[in-house]
Amino acid sequence: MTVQSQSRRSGGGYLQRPAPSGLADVIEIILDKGIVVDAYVRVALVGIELLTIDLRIVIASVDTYLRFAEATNRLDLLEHGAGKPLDEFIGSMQESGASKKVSGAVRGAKKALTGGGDDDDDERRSRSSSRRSTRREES
Amino acid sequence: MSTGTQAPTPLPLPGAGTDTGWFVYGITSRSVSVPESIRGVDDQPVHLLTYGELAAVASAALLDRPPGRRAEILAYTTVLDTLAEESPVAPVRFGSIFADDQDVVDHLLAPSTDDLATLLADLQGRTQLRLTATYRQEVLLAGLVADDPDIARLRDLTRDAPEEAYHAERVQLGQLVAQAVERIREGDAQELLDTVAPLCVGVAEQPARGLDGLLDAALLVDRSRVETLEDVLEVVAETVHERIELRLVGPMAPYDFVEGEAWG
Repeated sequence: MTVQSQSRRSGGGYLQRPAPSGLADVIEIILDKGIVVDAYVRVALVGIELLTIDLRIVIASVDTYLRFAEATNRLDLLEHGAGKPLDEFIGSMQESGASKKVSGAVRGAKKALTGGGDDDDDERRSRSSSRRSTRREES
Repeated sequence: MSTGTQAPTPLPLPGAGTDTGWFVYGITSRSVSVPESIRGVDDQPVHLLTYGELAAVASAALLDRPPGRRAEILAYTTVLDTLAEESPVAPVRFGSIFADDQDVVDHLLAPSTDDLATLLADLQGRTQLRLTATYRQEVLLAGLVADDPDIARLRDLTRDAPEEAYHAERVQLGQLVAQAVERIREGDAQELLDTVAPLCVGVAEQPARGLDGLLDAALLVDRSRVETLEDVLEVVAETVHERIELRLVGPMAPYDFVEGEAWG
């Protein structure tokens, strides 16, 4: 996504101040929010609550553990980078795109929500994979 | 989303014999004026449906319209965030559609008139921001490998092995990492919350998402203190930037502060 372009130092600050209009932000902001009227009201526009559930990754699952393990094992640059100044090290890690792969499932799920005809492939993939994730109790 | 150059074709206003209903965005006071330029879902004009001192912010929508996504969500937040810039607005859950005016009164405004009036009074002069904190994952994980001999050992064992091998050890490695991250996360999140809470009227935390999520919190803030909050967070962000990224989004409508329990 576009977050990285808003990175620290741009605009002189370390605190990122992206506009609230990014769709991924917007979805997270409104999901499950707002005054709920009784069940009589049609919540007709999207199966949005269903999608919410799929978006939330449950930490205590084998799938998640394997992803943590994978992420940890992918830290190959670590040994070579250990002597570098931290900033430089972080920069190279970001460029390698490692974090993108790791959290790909989450972003993929978001994409499913954001729709758009050109995302169809991603959408199908993320939906089928997100079905495996455990559903939230309170929903 | 409304593109604005052409006037939309207005749908028939909801009522007997129409196939439209009211898509309701939120609740505000009747004295609020809706900017002419605002367009809602399906590019429809936005109306105030008043009841006593209250008003529902609504636009006409076909009752059998197909499910919406991107455009509808953006229209919803645009209407609410624009109104919230000037006036207290209590968002109603996205996708709430009512058959007609009477329906809006009977099921939304009349049953809790006093509570809604109190809520709007409480929201006066306040705005919501969303603070998210994310670990720089590589730094976080590198720290764990360096600090925890068990993690380091399991990593050495599994890292270069074929994917099918050492399944149990991989799960165990992931579990140890998850537990360690959780421990660190709790401490860091508390510290962050302790820093911002004194500047906020309310804080509503939701579970941080993903492997590297640290904190995801909606903050209700007096408008007059937004700048101070930004300054404080800038200092924090600079202090922690080597391992944590901070983002502050907003101001926006108070989506997280309309149901009472989130208030401090």
